[in-house]
Amino acid sequence: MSHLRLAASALATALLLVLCAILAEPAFELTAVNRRGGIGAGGLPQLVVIAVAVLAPLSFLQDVLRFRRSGHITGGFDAADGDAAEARRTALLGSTVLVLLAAYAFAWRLTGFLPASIAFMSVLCLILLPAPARSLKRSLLSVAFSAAFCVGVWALFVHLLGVPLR
Amino acid sequence: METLTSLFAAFSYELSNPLGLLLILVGVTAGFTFGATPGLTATMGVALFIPLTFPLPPDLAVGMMIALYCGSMAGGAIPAILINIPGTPSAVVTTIDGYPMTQQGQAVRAYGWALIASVVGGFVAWIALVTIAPTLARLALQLGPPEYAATALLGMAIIASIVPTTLSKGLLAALLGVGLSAVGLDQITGEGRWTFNTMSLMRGIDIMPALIGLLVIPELLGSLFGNAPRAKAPTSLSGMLPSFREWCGQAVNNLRSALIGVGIGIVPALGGSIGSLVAYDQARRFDKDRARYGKGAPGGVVASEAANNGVTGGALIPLLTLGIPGDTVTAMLLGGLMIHGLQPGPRLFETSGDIVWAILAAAFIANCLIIFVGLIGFRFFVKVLDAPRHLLASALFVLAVVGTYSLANQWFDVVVMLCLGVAGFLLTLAHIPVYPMVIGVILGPLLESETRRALVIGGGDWTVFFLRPVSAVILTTAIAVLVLPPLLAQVKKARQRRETDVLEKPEPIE
Repeated sequence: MSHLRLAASALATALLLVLCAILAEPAFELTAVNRRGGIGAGGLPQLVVIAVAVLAPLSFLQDVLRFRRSGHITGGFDAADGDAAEARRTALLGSTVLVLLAAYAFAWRLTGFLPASIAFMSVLCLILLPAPARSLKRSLLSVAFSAAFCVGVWALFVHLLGVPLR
Repeated sequence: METLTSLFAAFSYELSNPLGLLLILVGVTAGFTFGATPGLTATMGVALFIPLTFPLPPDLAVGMMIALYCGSMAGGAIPAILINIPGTPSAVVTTIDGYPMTQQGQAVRAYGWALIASVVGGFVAWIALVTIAPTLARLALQLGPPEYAATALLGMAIIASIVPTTLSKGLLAALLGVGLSAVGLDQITGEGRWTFNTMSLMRGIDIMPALIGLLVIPELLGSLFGNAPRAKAPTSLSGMLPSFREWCGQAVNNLRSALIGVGIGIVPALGGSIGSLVAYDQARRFDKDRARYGKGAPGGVVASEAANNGVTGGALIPLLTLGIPGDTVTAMLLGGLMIHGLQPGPRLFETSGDIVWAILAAAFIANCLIIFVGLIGFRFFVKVLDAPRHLLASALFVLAVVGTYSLANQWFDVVVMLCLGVAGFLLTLAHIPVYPMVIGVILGPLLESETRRALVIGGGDWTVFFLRPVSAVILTTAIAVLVLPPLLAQVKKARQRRETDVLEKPEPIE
């Protein structure tokens, strides 16, 4: 897990620095200090860009130093440290679910709520179904549950709460 | 007297309203279900229930959400006692003695102690809430922009320094949150900030999609990575509740732990886990039979459960009086209050006093219902542990997306939630805590607007923050909170190094 955490730290730092580079120009176009000595519209954005650009590499550096010193970094989604299979599972499952969520959001706009939700939930159920429990019957039950649940949510939101789920 | 009159009116209203009572019951039951299921948290429960409260009046809606909060804290003890897995993070300490009691065949008794301690803790917290909150709100009304700016800074400083990671990561997360809150039109000049000339970004980033993305999505993902064992439901529930005499033996422990929970709940970000841990430590210290702790002592279960339920009332105090959420659940509640048109802060008791008192009455009723729901529903809540995780997690992901969309029927909110969900997952993996980020999103606008107002009052002179005594004290505390812990840690490390050197130095041969 420590290698995964270090990689995540590097990726997060790189993304934050790219974000700072993109956001710096619009932030520094605004006035930071107005004529009366008060804070202008650009004060806070400029402070955030500078502080993040300093703190993100510093945090990564601390992680690298800790990893070199002790050989591991503790962090979120705790699992047994050094368990490579657990790390692979966390990274793979986490990113798969996030990609599926993004696909679901886009599919919802294209096909409407019910088809997109049933498809998303069915696929996610099948992915999360534990390997020893996988069978045709269980898979069909998962799809049926997904369909029933989504229709229930649709009915609740559209007819009871008045939220148009198109 | 004014407090008693307001409370009497609020209780009369709540007790004569069957729908309100039913909603509190639903809230407590849903809370128990969320608390009893490892991987599901109170934060998730409140977030997913907010859309369901849209058609309700604010007092009933918020009352139901608070009932869910209280119920989930009590429900977290069930898996902690039965399968050694805390249902909520704050029930971690309950496992220390709760599970050994189960191993000794005393699962039902341990749960009875947890239930009684939870209810007593809830009542102590409620008394603290109704006595401290109105007074604090009245005091807060005397404060001006420099004090508000300093308080917002103190809230962020506490959270950045308390999170279990380095200070730089805590600060980084808080600043990221403040940055998110800056997106949109400037409150004073109306200039666009990071809007890239798009209408959606001009609206700014709403709190709820940010909270669901940063808190709920990483939590849901985290629940997929664990492998919880199955629990066996106890066959008989007889002897569940301790006798009055037995409770008297634990009364001091119960009350002390609840008070510790309230005190810790008031400080933003400390939360139920720390409250339980401190209370447990104190209980063990004061108990004559301290050797039994960790091997199945009822006192350990009582301390942990009383404290984490005490935290619920404590965390509501800064939320209602200053608009500063004490933990992630109250951050969600803040979003819920705002959706229902209530602005938490010192003026809340003035502008919406009747609603606030009704909410406080609902919190009391929720605590009364915990004992009934806990007793009657125990067999059912144990079955929740058997729910297939693949179905439960998938359903909750759908609800998170639908819930975000339904807040304002805006696609942009779903996109924001997903982007922040990805960011939350990556940051959690990198051990950058997301909670300071959430607090940054919430307190960022307050910090900026009040700082700017204070500078207008002070004619651009920054010393205005140090010339007013209250603001000076709060700012000094904020600076101390940020600077002292790393300094003290360095001093401690240096002392330990010196001691090790002395021990390792060979003694001169005489």
